[in-house]
Amino acid sequence: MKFEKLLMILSLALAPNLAFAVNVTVDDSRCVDATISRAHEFITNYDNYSKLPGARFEKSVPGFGTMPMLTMVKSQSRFTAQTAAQTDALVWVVLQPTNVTDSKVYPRFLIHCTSAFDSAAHFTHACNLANEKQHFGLANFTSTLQVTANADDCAAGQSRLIYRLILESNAGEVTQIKKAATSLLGPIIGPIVAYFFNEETFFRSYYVNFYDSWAKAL
Amino acid sequence: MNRIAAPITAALLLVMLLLTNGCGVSDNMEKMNKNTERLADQAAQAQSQLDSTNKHMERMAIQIEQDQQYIKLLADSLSKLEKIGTAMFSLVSDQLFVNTPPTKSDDIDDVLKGTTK
Repeated sequence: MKFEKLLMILSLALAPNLAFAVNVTVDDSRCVDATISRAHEFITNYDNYSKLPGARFEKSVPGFGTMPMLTMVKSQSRFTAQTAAQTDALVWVVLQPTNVTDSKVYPRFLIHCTSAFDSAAHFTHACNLANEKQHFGLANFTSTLQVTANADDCAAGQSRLIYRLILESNAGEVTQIKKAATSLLGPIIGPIVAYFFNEETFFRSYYVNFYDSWAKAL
Repeated sequence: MNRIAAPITAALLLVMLLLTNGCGVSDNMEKMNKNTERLADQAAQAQSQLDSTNKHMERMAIQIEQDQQYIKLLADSLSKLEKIGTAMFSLVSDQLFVNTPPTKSDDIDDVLKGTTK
């Protein structure tokens, strides 16, 4: 009984943290064994995002195993321009938190993505949240990917990727997502699982893992 | 007179010389005996210490073998505990984190038709 009380106190202590929006900035720079044209084709293949290994994010518990957390169940695109030199598209992404069956609280967002080569050896790919359209869980999504072929600081044949992602959560909506993900687990397990579903995990870990998986699949 | 005295003197000198050397040999033999006895004592002490060290080494070898068996037992127990822990985690995880199929959500065309969030 005392243990249950402790967990209730813990859950109450954690609850106020859910109300704060989280701003996350992810920076990454790496060399990859891929041509610039391959990188361009791969980053603009939005429909394939949900099929990548990184679409499913699992949190590992050292010594035991992994806990599934979030899965990208939908990535759909509509292009208004699609050539080898530039693209312009709207991309719809839906994520399913584990245990959640109510799609009304699935994190989801529409982003406007463009790509353009400014030379044969460099292109920029950028995405921004389409604020005026349906979205849930996020208040901001801005990503920029710079790809340079045969960069000086990479080995011959490699390309340099410089990536920046800025996210801002919608605190109220994230609270709803967490509530839906943990309400079925009861007063003891629910708060523990809610702890793992914090914003930091939800945003930074998911997208860091997704980008890493994408870059490695190049 | 000189013919008689000379051989007698020589004989006396020879006797004295023999007597003197005989005492010296006897002393040396005695010293050698003592040295030999001392060396024998030291050798016996060293043997005794060696025997003691050997016995200690044997006891240590037995102790090390016992420790190794104990460590192996501990390792086996830890391995079993880890397997049980992993199995339990898996059991709980499978029940808690059911990978339910997603329910129907809006497609991109539905979203593009809408104008508000």
